[in-house]
Amino acid sequence: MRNEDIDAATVRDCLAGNPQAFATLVERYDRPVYNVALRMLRNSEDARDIAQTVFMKAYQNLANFDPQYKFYSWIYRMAINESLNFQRVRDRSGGPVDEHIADEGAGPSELLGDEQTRELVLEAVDQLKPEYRAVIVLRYFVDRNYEDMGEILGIDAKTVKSRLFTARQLLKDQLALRKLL
Amino acid sequence: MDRNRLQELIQADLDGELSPSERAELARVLLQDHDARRLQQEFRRMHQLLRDIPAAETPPGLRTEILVARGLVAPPLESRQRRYNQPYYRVAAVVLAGVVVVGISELLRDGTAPTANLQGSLRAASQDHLSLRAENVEVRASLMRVGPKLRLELSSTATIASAVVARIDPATMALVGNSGEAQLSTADGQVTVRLAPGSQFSVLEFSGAAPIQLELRADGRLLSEGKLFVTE
Repeated sequence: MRNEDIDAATVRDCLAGNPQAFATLVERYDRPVYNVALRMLRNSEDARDIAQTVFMKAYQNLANFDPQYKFYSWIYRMAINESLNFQRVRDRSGGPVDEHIADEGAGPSELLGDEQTRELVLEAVDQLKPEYRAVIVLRYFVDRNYEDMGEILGIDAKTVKSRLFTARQLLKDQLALRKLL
Repeated sequence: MDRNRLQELIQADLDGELSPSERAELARVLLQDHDARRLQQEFRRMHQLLRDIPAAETPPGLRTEILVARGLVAPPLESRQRRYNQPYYRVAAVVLAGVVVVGISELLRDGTAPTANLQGSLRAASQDHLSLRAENVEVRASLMRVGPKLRLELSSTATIASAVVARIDPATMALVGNSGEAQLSTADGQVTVRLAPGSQFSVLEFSGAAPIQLELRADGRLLSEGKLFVTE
C-alpha cells in the first residue's frame, strides 16, 4: 500500500467513528512532526509541546480535512505553522538567544567531530529567516519534494524552488562563516 | 554563464529536477569553468552536511501522552517520568548508575570479561520498534517497559483480515493484560491478535523479559516477521 492510501483509509476510518484509527495516525506521524518542530525551534521541550498541540488540533479538526490533499501535507503544515507561531511569541517575550557567532578558533570541518559538525550545521540553519528555514527543514529533514512543499506551505512549486534557492545561498554563507565549506 | 543561472542549475541537479537539456548545459559549463566546479562542490558539500543529520527519535512517552490526552488509551499504571521525579527514585537511579559503572570497570579489568555477550545485548537493545509490511496490511509495533510490565503497542492499517502472532518464551514471560479493542487468542508461548480490515490500535501487557518474536499472517501465510527487544 502507498503511504497516501494508508493515510486516506485511516482518516476515513477515524471519521467513520473508529477512534483507534487516530492512534494509527499518531503512530505514523509523531516522529516526523516532532522532527519538523525540533528543527524549526531547536528545543526538544518546545518541539514536544508543538507535537502535542498539532495532534490535538488534528483530532479536533479531522472532519474539516480535505481528502483531495495528502494527510501528511496537512499535518506538516500544522507543525510548521505552530512552530512559527511559537517562535513569534518566544521572540516577542525575549526568550533565550543562542550564541550565533562561530568560534574564531574553530578549525576546518575535517578536524571537527561528527556531533560538533552537526551542531554547527543546525546552528547555521537556525540563523535563516523562518520562511527559508521552513523550506530547508521540509526538504532535508522530512524529505519532501517541490510539489509537497508547495502543498504544505500553500505556495506554488515555482515559489518553492525560488525560496529554496535563496535559502541555500544564505545557508551556504552561514556554513562558510563556520568554516564548514 | 550568468552566476545565478549556474546556481539554479546546480541546485536543481541536487534536487534531481534537471531536464536533459539543462543537464547538458550544466555539464558543458562544469567542463570549461573551474570556478563553476568549485561552486558545485560547495553546494554538494552543504547538501551532504544536511543529509548527514539523522532524524531525532521521538521522546519517550510522547506517543502515550498524545493518546492519553485524546482518551484513546488508559494512562500507564506507573509513569516512569513521574516516578523518576520523586527524590528517592533519583537517589536510587544515581546509586544504580554507580553500581553499573563500577561493575563494568571490574569486568573490563578482568581479562575473562564476556565481551561477546556484552556486544550482543547492546545490539539487541536498540530494536524496540519495527514495521511489518505487506501489500494489503501494515503493522507498526513498539515495545517499552512500563513499571514491572512490558507494553507491546500494535498499530495496524489493513484492507484484509490478518493477524499478528506474538511468540514469547513461556518460561520467562506471560500475558497479563490487553486493551479492550484487541481480539486475542492464546496458546502456549504465543498470543494471536486478530486484525480486522481498517485501522486498529492494540495494547498487550506482559510480565517478564523480552524478546518477542512477531509474525504478520493472513490466510495461513507468513507475510512478514521481526523480533522486538526492549530498550531499558
